[in-house]
Amino acid sequence: MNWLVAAYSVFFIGIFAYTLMMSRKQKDLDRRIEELRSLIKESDLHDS
Amino acid sequence: MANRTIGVASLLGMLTALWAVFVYAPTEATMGIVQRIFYFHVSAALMGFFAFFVVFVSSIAFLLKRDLAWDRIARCSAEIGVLFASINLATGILWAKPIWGIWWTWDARLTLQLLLWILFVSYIMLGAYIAEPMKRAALQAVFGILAFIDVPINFMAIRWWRTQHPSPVILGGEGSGLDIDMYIALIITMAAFMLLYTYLLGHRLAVERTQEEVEYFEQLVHSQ
Repeated sequence: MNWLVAAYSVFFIGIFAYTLMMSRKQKDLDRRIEELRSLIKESDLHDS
Repeated sequence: MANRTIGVASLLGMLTALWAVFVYAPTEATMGIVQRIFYFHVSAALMGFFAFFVVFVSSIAFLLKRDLAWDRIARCSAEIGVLFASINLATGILWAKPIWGIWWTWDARLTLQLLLWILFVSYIMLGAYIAEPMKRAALQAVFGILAFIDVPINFMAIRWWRTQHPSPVILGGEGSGLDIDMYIALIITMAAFMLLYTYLLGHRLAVERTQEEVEYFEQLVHSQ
């Protein structure tokens, strides 16, 4: 029984960890895009 | 939105697969309850093979068309393939200990599966060391095509050589096979894994596209 629980835990922990990692990366990248967009907007305002 | 729907479908698929494995499928006579590891173990192996097949096809497409969209698919699929291959190796080890009494043996199937895992981890690492996109993509495509050669040999290993790994239950020829209820449980599990792969690939591709968008905006900021 313990082996069965261990095997299925490995599966679900692995999938959950990977999905969580991807979601966090996506959030960080979205935040970075917002920062860069505002930087571009600011520099456009300065230029004009 | 479409990927979220696939995500919900894969979650429902997983719940159905768990029901099929733990409720619907009968307990195997000699191995007992530990045999139920088999359903996720085999599905993870086959989904890993499928993910690497996607790498193989996308790599050929990239080399023919020189379109980085194919390279993106190949890289994302390789990462998910490594995830499934890791799960397959780990669940195999957890099955081997109570059944064989050992964690690992240098059997043809096990060795080829470990080699496959190492090859695609190397594929991912190779991508991290080359900055120029077209050069990196071309090198990775060639490496991905060559690494895929392991998959058909690995698939056939338990058919060509009789070693410690159990004989095949799918396309194993005469005398092989499963109880019909076990077969149904395996098919349900494989369908759930296919949905999961589709969801993970969609998710990973979205991250990759956003990463490229960030690189584009960074170039724009630096050029100002």
